[in-house]
Amino acid sequence: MFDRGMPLQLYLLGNFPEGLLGGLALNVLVALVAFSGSFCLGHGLALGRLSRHRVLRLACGAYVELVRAVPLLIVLFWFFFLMPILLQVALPPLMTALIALTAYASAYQAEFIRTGIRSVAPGEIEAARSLGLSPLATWLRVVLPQAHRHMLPTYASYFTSLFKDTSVLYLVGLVDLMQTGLIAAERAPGRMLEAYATVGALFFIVCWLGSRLASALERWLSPNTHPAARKAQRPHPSTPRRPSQENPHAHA
Amino acid sequence: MLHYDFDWSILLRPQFAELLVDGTLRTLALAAVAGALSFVAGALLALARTSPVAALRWPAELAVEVVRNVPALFWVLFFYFVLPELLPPAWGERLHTWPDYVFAAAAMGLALDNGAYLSDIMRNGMVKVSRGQREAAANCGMSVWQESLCILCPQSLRTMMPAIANRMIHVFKNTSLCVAISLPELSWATQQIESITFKGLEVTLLATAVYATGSLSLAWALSRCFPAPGLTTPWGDRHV
Repeated sequence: MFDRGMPLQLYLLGNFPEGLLGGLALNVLVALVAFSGSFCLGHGLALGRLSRHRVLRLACGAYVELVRAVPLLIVLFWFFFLMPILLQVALPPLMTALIALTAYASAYQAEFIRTGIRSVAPGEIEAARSLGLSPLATWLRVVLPQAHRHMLPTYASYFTSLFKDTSVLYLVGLVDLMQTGLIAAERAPGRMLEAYATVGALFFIVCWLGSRLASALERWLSPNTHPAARKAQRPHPSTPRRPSQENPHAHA
Repeated sequence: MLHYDFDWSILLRPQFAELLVDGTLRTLALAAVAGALSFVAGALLALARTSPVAALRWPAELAVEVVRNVPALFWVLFFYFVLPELLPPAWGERLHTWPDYVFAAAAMGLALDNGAYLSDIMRNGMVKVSRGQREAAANCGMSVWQESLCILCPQSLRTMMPAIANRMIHVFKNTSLCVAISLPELSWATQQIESITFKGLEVTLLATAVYATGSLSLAWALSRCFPAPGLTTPWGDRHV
């Protein structure tokens, strides 16, 4: 199946040793970089949308809603047409695509992060503040850990979806997995089905692993099976178990 | 120094204006056809996945798992390039010569991708209708069809509608993937005009406005028709 005409290496790495990195490795790399970048940018956008300053709130809200309302291809067009004008130099297409995909994904990530933050009970924040934690410490130690734990399965399934979105990069001229399949199909027209099956199978394997991870996280975090929840059900040794066990003379 | 001469007049040149108007209409038509098809596909898959017959359940589960884990773009290309090869030669030849096959392939590809997601939403919605409701329907002497149409569908549709609306907006945006098979829709028109005039920003701005208006008004209309039920959390009801 994988012979000289369409070697497996073409699908996995593109023309890598001789030319640029491509194939499945490119998709994975782009998805990883865009995911991490957008996770950071998403925090800024989510906090901006929850901010007290009206202008900041409106600006972040407008960006998130606009990007989420248009297709990825249009966002890619924006960056491919705007970057050369803004920077006065032509960036390599991979760089432009990475920036565009990060900007696109950060709008989605911002919404996940915002949902996570809003799922933290207001009482938690009040309790942390009244215990004397600074606002920064409240965010870093109380709100964000709970928000992220709540949204972990969503992040995992968004990574899968972002990975699938990277297939669009072939439309702007990158040699990604989809494009290597088309190249292979063009080299051997009689064996088109093989080329498509390989591309589909490779996409499937990575996405399937991603969605398994998402559902494993979901199971792990669900209230019935989560280790922390099980621990919480068991009373801490130092706390009184029942009101009847309390010292009756405590208030005397 | 930033320098870019905006030239909005290119959008009004007859040949480009025609491309853009045609493209917008084709995008809307494709979204409508693919959305309707995916609704049917999703409902059938959801019924098969909840069916007591294992011979129906397992193939449907497998199909949904495969479709969901491969990009929509792959399915669009698959229906356009590969399907005619898989069919008997006479049929394949017929598809090759059918001028609207590019539209049909695009609609099938998008509908398949979206149908897999919709079947998930619909299956979860059906499972959520309480068992008591079904038992009550059966005890009232309703047939399976009556039970599905009068009890199951109305109740589950109401809870599923926000999620379905969300997927329909995805279909509208995913129509832009059909650039890959040169279907002359809005993104294709944008790309064409840019490659002829090198005035990318004006055209992209227009396309952005059309897509944003389309998906925001779709979201608004669907949320007006089917208000999202509040999510109940330990600290009260809230809308997410």
